[in-house]
Amino acid sequence: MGEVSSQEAAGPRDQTEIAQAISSLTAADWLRLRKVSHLYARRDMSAKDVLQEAIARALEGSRVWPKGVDFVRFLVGVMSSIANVEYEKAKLRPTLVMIDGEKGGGETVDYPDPTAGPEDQAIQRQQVVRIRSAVLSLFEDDQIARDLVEGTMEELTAEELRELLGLDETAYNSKRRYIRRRIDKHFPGGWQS
Amino acid sequence: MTGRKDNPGRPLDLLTEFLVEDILNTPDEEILAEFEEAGGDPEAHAAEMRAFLEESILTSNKAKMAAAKAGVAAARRLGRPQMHGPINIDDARRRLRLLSEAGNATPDLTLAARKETELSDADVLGLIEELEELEHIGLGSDNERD
Repeated sequence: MGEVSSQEAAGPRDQTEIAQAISSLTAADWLRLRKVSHLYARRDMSAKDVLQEAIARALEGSRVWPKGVDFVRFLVGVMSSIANVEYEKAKLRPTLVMIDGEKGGGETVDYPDPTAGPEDQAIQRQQVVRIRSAVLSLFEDDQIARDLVEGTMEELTAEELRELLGLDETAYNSKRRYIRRRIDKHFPGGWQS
Repeated sequence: MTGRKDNPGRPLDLLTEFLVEDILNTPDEEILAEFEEAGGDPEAHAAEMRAFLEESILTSNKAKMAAAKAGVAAARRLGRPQMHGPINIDDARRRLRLLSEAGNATPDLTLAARKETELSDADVLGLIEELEELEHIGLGSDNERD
């Protein structure tokens, strides 16, 4: 990955180092970031928005890039965090609600709508069921790949899966790559596609 | 990454992590070849991304700067300590382990913290920062313990 990313030391980086790291990103790094940003895109946030926000936070210093940590891996961590925090914030997003005023006229007040969370969760649950089914159907011809996908979605760790499926690390990594490529082909724009 | 136990998107988050780990571990030449096989030009894509980034940073810089200044001013008024300084990775890992031991007091991070030994330094720092941000918007562990 990028030249600057291989430096080893302790402590956070300054803005100049971050700008240098961005300009040192290789074509392969940009493709990695593109692929990852598609996976972290959300209904309210496009892949480009997620990536742009991650880089902006790094430049602003609101996310610390510690020395010794690969820059692409760091940005991926920030994108993951953005996607998760956006989900939590969405549940608290204020909604305009009509209430009765003293003179009988309606007023609008901003406060978190208690029904917004469950509705959002129901939509998300449906989306997960749809994607899960679509992803599993891609591996009907490969039981190990299917088990690997299913087990991952059911909270099993890599170690547990390797043991359960009798895969050594190389075989596991090879199968994971095969799965990722097949999913890439069917979901080129990430889960929102 | 972390997800709460009541997060219906959790299975998808886990699958995403699985795929992301592969993306990060795929050699450059394979990543480039995949894009070319799909009809893309990696260098043109990189140039496009750099241009997009420069333009978007320029556009948002002014607003971000204003927001950042307002944030710093608010933090000063509240006497709140700055969130970020040098972070010791051992301290960060210790904090995650404590969260794990706290069990249901920290449902949003317990699962991820349980796997602390499997997490990279970057993941650990990301979780800690995420925790700080969630606490900032009132969803963190301290809030839930009250």
